[in-house]
Amino acid sequence: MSIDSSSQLSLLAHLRHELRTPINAIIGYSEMLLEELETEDEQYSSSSQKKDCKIACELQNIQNCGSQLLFLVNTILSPTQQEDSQLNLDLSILRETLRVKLQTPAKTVTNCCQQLLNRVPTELISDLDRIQIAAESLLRAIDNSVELSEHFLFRGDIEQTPSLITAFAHSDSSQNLTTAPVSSDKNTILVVDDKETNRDLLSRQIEAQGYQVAVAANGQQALQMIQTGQYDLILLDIIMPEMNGYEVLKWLRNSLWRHIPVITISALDEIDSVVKCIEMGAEDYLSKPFNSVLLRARIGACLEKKRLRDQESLYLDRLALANQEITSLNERLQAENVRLNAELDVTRRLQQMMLPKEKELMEIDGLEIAGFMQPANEVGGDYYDILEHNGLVKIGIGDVTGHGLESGVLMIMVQTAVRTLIENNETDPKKFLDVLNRTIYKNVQRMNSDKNLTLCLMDYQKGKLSLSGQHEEIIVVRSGGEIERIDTIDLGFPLGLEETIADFVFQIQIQLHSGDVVVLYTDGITEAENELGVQYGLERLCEMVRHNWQRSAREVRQLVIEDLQRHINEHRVYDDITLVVLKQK
Amino acid sequence: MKIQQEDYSIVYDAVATTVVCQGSLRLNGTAEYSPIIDLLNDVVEQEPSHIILNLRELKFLNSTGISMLSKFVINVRNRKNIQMIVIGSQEISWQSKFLKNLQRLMPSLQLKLT
Repeated sequence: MSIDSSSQLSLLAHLRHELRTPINAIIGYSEMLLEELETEDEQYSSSSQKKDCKIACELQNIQNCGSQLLFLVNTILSPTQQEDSQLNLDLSILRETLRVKLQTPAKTVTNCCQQLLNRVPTELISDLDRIQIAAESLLRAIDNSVELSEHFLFRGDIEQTPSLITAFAHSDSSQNLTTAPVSSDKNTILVVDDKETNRDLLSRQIEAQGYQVAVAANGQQALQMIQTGQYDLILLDIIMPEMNGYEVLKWLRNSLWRHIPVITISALDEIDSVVKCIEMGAEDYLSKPFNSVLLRARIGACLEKKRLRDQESLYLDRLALANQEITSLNERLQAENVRLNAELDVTRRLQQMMLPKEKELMEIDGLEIAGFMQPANEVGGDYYDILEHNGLVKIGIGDVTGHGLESGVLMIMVQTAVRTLIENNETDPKKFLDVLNRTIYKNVQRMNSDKNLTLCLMDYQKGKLSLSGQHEEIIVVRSGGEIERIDTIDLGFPLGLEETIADFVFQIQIQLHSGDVVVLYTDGITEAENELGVQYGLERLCEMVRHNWQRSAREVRQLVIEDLQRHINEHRVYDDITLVVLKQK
Repeated sequence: MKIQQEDYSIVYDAVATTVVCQGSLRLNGTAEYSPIIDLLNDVVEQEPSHIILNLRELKFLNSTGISMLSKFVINVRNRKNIQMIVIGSQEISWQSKFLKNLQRLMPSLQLKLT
């Protein structure tokens, strides 16, 4: 028969795979039996050692035959071996070659098994049986190789081909495939292989390494188990009927279980499939026959990687949660900021709307008046006012402690109370400030606030200024430049701090002459800082006024504010800045 | 009890029942003053027979700070059984002016200006 070269290559691969399965079983079980024998040796007395030595020799013999068989299959069915004959595969010749070369070692295996069956401890018999069955099925497979190769070539589909060693491979498929429920502290490994011997060998090796094992006999079953169980690692055979390893890999990578690492099981010469599997997301590969040291190392490495990945994803989850919290806190903070800003806007507007208007100031008889107020970012509670009633001019300047809405509201209360008292013709300074203080004190108590304020009130009439109330020093610059600083500490007391202050209120008079300048201010000016933390200071303010007394009230105001702004420069303004310049006409 | 910052320090010596304030206090609003207020209130809670408030080295105190000190003195005064002594400096301008207010709040307060 004539077949093309690619079909010949896949046929060779198929034959290799089929013949190697029983050979791997021979090698694997003999190795395991040797290991078990060694452990027993360590446990029991030396009397049985002689006998065990003979058993070990026979087992070693079996294992050597297995290795020899594997080498022969790999050589005879190697694609390079066939290349010399231009891939002109003659199945009959191939069968004969296999028969001639493999028969002797395979027979040696069965002979050894028979000899050993009567001599080994009973617990080893079943594994010995498995070796014998494997050797017999290998011989049968060689005999059937021509028929089944033709079948393979005509169907052209590996999955449709009955296995060469069906009877062997599924000899005990009725066995319960899954293991006991997963215990929490051991890693559980799922072994997926259609060959019972492979599953058995792998499982036992893995269990010996301290892991828990579950097994699946095909791809479909594996998928079911993955969806219902908890596995830390999957050992996956590639060539399986119905659903092969590639399909399992593909499904897994698109599923919720994509994080479970997979080690594919393949023969050393199936390098293409190894590459394909790794490209499809497999973590590593293991070649048959399974070397226990390599198996241990690969499983260990894979589980460690998975542990790190799991930990990483746990940290990522936590990080995401923390991020969420930060975001929501930020949103709350922003909302709070919006609220605060809105509050400050309201306060600023309240403060500005209560200030005396330019027109009112122009109408005051005998005095030139220039006022200035600049609220700080966090609006303070500065207050200044000029009110006229029945020919009497009342000038006020004050400062509520603190900042924000509460300070602003208090300032408005003060303004209203002052006007009320004026409208009520209260002219006695003691009574005036005492009533004002009680009004503010009681409201401050009601507001549960800790604010209070300084306030200096001046009555002006025909060049005479009557001062009462405690505030900053009042600066008087006589025409000619002479400075007088009026201390107001003994003229009153902070408002809103104590219930009665009448005892502390006194009044003094200042006579103003034409050209005299009076400067009122809040600590926003004297305590304004530059970048170095140096305050503007009362002295500098006095100097400014002293040098410019001959100018108009408006000009003095402008020069002082400009000088102050030069001082502050880029530095933050902490407090409201208030300045009132009076000049006797 | 002790509050130590770059610009200022507030130290309470329990043996001498003396609160020593040093540096420059220009904190913003009652909230920023609250650790100091707490410290002062703790001292009052212990009801010593006398409290000495040493402000000699407190170069600067803003209006909120002055307000805080005033409240502290009111608190001491209301206890009626604590003698209060304030030590200050005539050379520091805010002290020469506002420490008088403390004496007005509590007439029995001894003010020692140097």
